[in-house]
Amino acid sequence: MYDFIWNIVISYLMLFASLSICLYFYTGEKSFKYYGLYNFTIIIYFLTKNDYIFSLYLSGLENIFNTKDALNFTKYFNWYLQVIFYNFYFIFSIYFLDLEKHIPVLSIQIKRVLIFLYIFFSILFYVTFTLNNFELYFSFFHFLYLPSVLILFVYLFPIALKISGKHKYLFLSGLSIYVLFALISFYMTVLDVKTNSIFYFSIGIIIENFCFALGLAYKTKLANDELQQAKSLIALEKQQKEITKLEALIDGEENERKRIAQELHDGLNGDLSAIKYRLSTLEDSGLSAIHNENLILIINMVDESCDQVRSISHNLMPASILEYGLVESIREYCLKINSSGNFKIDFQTFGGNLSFIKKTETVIYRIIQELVTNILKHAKATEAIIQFNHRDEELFITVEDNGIGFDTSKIYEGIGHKNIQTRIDFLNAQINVDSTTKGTSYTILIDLNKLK
Amino acid sequence: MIKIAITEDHTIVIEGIKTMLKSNKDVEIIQSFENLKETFANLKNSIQVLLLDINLPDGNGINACKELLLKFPNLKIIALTNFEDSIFIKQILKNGAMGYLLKNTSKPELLEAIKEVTYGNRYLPKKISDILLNDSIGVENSSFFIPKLTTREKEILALIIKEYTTEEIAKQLFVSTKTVESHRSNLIQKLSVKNSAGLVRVAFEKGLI
Repeated sequence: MYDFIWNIVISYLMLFASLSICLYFYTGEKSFKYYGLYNFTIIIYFLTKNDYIFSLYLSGLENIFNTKDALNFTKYFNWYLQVIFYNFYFIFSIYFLDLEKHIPVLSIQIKRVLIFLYIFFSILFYVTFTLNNFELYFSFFHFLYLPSVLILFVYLFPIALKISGKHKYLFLSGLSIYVLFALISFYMTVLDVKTNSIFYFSIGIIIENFCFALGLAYKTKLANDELQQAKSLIALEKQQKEITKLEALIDGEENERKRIAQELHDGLNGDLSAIKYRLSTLEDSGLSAIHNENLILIINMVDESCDQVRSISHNLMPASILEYGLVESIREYCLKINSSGNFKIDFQTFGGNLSFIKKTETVIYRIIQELVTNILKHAKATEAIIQFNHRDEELFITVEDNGIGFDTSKIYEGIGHKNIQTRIDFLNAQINVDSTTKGTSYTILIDLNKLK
Repeated sequence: MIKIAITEDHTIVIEGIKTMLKSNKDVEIIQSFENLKETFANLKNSIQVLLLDINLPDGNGINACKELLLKFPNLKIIALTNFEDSIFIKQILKNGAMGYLLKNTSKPELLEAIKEVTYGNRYLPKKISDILLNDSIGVENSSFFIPKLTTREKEILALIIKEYTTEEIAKQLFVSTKTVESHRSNLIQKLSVKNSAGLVRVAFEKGLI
């Protein structure tokens, strides 16, 4: 029975130790490292508690020392091991409870104290063993090591409770169980009950180890969550930056268009009109027939120029988008194209309230304009459909023609497409193109929640 | 003699019109303004016709038209502008303008417009009335419109009728399930039905497939 328990304990400890070391290399979380080291020293400690292994171990030692010294060495070594694994245990706790994050200076000092104790006991181990003064060694352990560790523990415990995350409860339960079983084991020894005290001790350690393993898992999850959060934050920031850049680009372009449109519309067109008025006065001034004919020709040319300037200016910046919104502007745009004759665009909207902030509207208008221009230029289509489906938080736009289609893999070559893609990116939207020899269909999905 | 005023922020245009109309005995340009504020403040009551630009430095002529007519109920306003958007034409006419001319109007057209509006008639040149006509035909079209299905929607509707699931449709058409869902929602909205079963019913009723 005892051997059975012992085997289980050792295998669990080995599992925990190797797992933690692996996890340490994987996550870089230092509490795993010290937890693993703690477990390894505990294993060594436990190995000496098994009769069979102990005899192997002794016979190994007997090659170095004589039998008496080998036994003696083990006695010293056992207590020395305890110093080591309590040290590791302590450092593990510091990392596990995030003390090194919250109180870094104090943590370093505590680690120094522990290192000092370790060095001190290493020397003491050597000196007392050589002098064969176990009493001295044992007293130092009891009156120096245990009190120091205990004082540090009592001092740090309230701080840890205050600053540590939820995993402290798992640490706490592990610790209390450990202490409980250690006490039981201690009283068993004191009361001299005929059980092996190490049995209770080992059960305590196993349960404690379970608690710590859970705690470490929880901690890793927390760290992972934090990492994910930081990552998504960075991604979000990057996206924001990208959008701001696009916005600046689009703004610059729109402002420039607006300026040119206004100058053409108000300036050049006004001038052309004035020129026409002045020319008209010549009609009554008794010109010869041939001159009059020329004059009429000039006036007609001025008229044509006026029309052209007007249409250029309108394409650059439709005044109606600022005054009457997106739907009206697109309707107007389609009307204008329809009135030219051999090409028909159908504009339909579904779902109410299709008004957005002006910038969004302008951007959407530009996309539609660019798509329709492409259709007119290249598709050899006779009909097209523009549809807006607005529902909930989504605007779904379809622009479709019955033209000859194109190779969608070559879509990225034109400036027109680049303009569209910039605007799609700005809207955080998706565009899909589907083209066959019977026509091309663009679908644009805008998530209205993702608009700035 | 018809008394006229012009509100126009380009003096070169004002001068041009003045020169053009100088030789004419029937009309006389009495006043000219470069913005709306001056117009409101100084327009004489005797002015019969105002040629009003839409795009002005201190506001737009469409709204000003309404307010001017409140102050000068007998005034006839003719919009003189470079905009040919039907919505602008409709709005300013709604606001009481009697005529709408593009800036590169000719002398006979301008004179005719002025005369017509003083008689109390509306005057729209052929180009403008064509724009309005086109627009109203467009409106009429959409009032009894049959929702047009896009090619994609037809494809998806056909697959819905074949009882394909969203995933199967997505796979078949090489698009994402989200896109299929959006198309399905579009169809449901477009055909005013509640669910896919409704889509199938309407598709057969209206012969959409």
